[in-house]
Amino acid sequence: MNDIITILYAAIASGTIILYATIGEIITERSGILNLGVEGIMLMGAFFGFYVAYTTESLILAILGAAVIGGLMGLIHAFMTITLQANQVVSGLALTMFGTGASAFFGVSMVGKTLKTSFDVIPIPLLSKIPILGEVLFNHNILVYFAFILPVIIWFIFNRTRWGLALRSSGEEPLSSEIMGIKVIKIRYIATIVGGVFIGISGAYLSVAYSRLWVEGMTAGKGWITIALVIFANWNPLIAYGGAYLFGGLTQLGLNLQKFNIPFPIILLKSIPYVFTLLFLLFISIKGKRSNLPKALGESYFRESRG
Amino acid sequence: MFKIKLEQKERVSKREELIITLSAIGIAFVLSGIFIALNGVNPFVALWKVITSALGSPYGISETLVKAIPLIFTGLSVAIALNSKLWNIGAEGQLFFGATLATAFIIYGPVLPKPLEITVLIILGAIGGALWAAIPALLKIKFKMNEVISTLLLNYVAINIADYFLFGPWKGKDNFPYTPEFPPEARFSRIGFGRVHAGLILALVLVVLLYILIYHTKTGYKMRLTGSSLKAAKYAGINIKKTMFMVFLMSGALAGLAGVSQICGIEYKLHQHISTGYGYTGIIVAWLARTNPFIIVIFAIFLSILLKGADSLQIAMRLPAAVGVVMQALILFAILGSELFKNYNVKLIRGK
Repeated sequence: MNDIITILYAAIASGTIILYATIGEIITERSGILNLGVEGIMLMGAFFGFYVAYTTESLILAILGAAVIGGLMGLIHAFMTITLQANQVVSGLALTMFGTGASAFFGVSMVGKTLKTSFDVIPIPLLSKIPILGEVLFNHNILVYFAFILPVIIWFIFNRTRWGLALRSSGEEPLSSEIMGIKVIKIRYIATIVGGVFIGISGAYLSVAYSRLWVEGMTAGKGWITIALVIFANWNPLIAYGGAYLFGGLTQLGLNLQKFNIPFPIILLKSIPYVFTLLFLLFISIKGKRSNLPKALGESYFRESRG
Repeated sequence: MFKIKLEQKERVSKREELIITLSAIGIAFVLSGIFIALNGVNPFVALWKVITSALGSPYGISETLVKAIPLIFTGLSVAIALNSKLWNIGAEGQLFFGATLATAFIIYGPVLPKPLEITVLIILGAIGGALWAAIPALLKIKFKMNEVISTLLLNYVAINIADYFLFGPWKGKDNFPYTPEFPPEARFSRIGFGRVHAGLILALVLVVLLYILIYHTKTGYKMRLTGSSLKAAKYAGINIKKTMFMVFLMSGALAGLAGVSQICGIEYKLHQHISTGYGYTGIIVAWLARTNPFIIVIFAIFLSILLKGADSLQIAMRLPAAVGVVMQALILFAILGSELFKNYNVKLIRGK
C-alpha cells in the first residue's frame, strides 16, 4: 500500500514537469505553429533556472529567469518561422540542438552544484489529511499546485475569451481570420513566446524543484514526450492532465517494477517512458480522434498571399 | 514600427544563391564568436584554431575526413527520406542498432576470412539500421503516426539497448562499458592516409549509386514523386505506402552503415561514444545539401571541419565540448533564415 502511495505521489510530482511543457506546446500549436524545440527550451529553462537559483538563492527569480529564457527561445522560433517563414520542423530541430548545446555549454560550471534553497512542501490544510488522496495530491510544493489550476485557466482562455477564439482561429483558418480583423502574425508571435515561457518553467521545475540538480541533457527526451502528449491530449488543456499524470504514473510504475518482484533488466527500465509514449500515440492513432488538430498547424502563413 | 515586405523573385542566379548561403554561414560564425567570447576566449583566435586544426596539416585533414565518413552515411540516410518528404530524425538510433547487431555477430559468430567477415558485418549493420527504421515506418503507414516523434523516441531506446549489452553481457574485462577489441578480420583496412579507412570508399560508392537510383531509375522517380506530391503520385498509380516503406528501410540501412563504419573503421569495439551525434548532424547535412548525394559529400566535409575544430577548441582552449553543437545549431538557423532571401526580395518599409 505504501509503495502504491509513493508511486502515485511520484506520478504527480514527475507528471508536473511534462504538464507545464504540454500546456505551453498546446498554446503554441493552437495558434498554428509547431514547435519541435521543446526539448531545447526545457533544457535552457532547466539550466538557467538552476543557475539563477544557485547564484541568487531566490526561487522566484529562478522561475522568472527560466520563464524569460523560455520566452526568448520561443521568440527565436517565432522569428524564424513567422517572419523568415522558415520550415517549422527544421527550425524546431535547430532550436532543440541550440538549447541542448547552449545549456551544456554554459552549464559546465553548474555541474555537481547543490542548491541551498528549495521549494518547500506545503501541505494544504484539511485536504492533506484525507487518507491516501491527501498524501498523493495535497502534499506538494507550490509549483505542483499551480500546475493543478493552470490547465483550467488556459482552457477558460481558449474557450471563453476573445483572445482564445482569435488564437484558435489563427491556427485553423489564418487567411479568413486575417480578413475578420484578427492579427494572425501578432497572435502567433505571442502564442509561441508564451508557450516558450511555460516550457521554460517546466525545465526550471525539473532542475530547481524536482531533482535539485543540473545535469547536462537532463530532460532526456521529455520535450519529445511532451510533443506526443499534445497529440494524446487532442490539443485540449484539460485532457493534458490525464496525459501528463497518467504518463507520470505509468513511468513510475515501470521504474518500480522490481518492487513488485517482476524481473526486468534494470538498465532497460530507462526505455519505458519512450515506449509508453509510442504506445500512447498508437492508442490515439487507433482511436482516430484528433478533432482539435489545428488545420493550419505547421504551415507557413504568407500575409502577401492575400494578393 | 517596421514591416517586412516580400516580393517574389522571378529567378535566382546560382551566384546570388551562393552569396546568400555564404553570408548566412558568415553570420553563424559571428554568432558562434559571441558564444566563444562569452567564455573568455578570443573568437578570432578560436576561428583560426578551427581552420588550422581541421585543415592545417595532413594529420588534421585526415582526422577531418574520418569524421566526414559517418556524416556522409547519415546525411544520405536523412536525405533519401527527405527526398520522399519523410523525416528520419532517427539516424542516431539506427546507427547504434546497426552497430549493435554487427557487434553481436563479432561476439557470438565465427571469425571468417576478412573479406567475408567484413561483408557479413556490413550487411548486418544495414539490416540492423533498416529493422530499427521499419518500426516508425510501419507506425506511419499503418497508423499514421508522425515519424518525427517516433524516430526520435526510438533513438533513446536503441541507445538504451546498446547500453544493456555494454553494461551486461558484453562488458569489458575491466568492467568498463565496452566490448573487447575486434579481431583484425573485422576491421576495415586503412587507405594510407592517417586513420582514414575503407568506409570512405563504401560511402562514396553509395553516393554514386544513390544518385543513379534517385535521378535515373523508375524507383527513384517514384520516390521523388511521392515526395513532391502525394496526389500526383497516387494519380500516377504509385503504391505510396510501399514506396514510403522502402525509403524508410533504405534510410535506416544507410544509418546502420554509419554504425558499422564507426565500429569497424575507427573504434574497433562497441562503446557508448561511437557516435557524437552523427545522426543529428546528418539532418543538417541533408537539409543543407537539399538531398543531392554529391552535394552531401561537400556538406559532410564542411560539418566535419566544424566537428574537428570544435574538438580542438575543447582540448586547446578548454571550451566546453558542447561548442560544436552550438555552432551546428547556429549554422542551421542561419541557413534556414537565409532561404527567404533566396526566393524573395525582402524590403523593410515603415508601416503603422
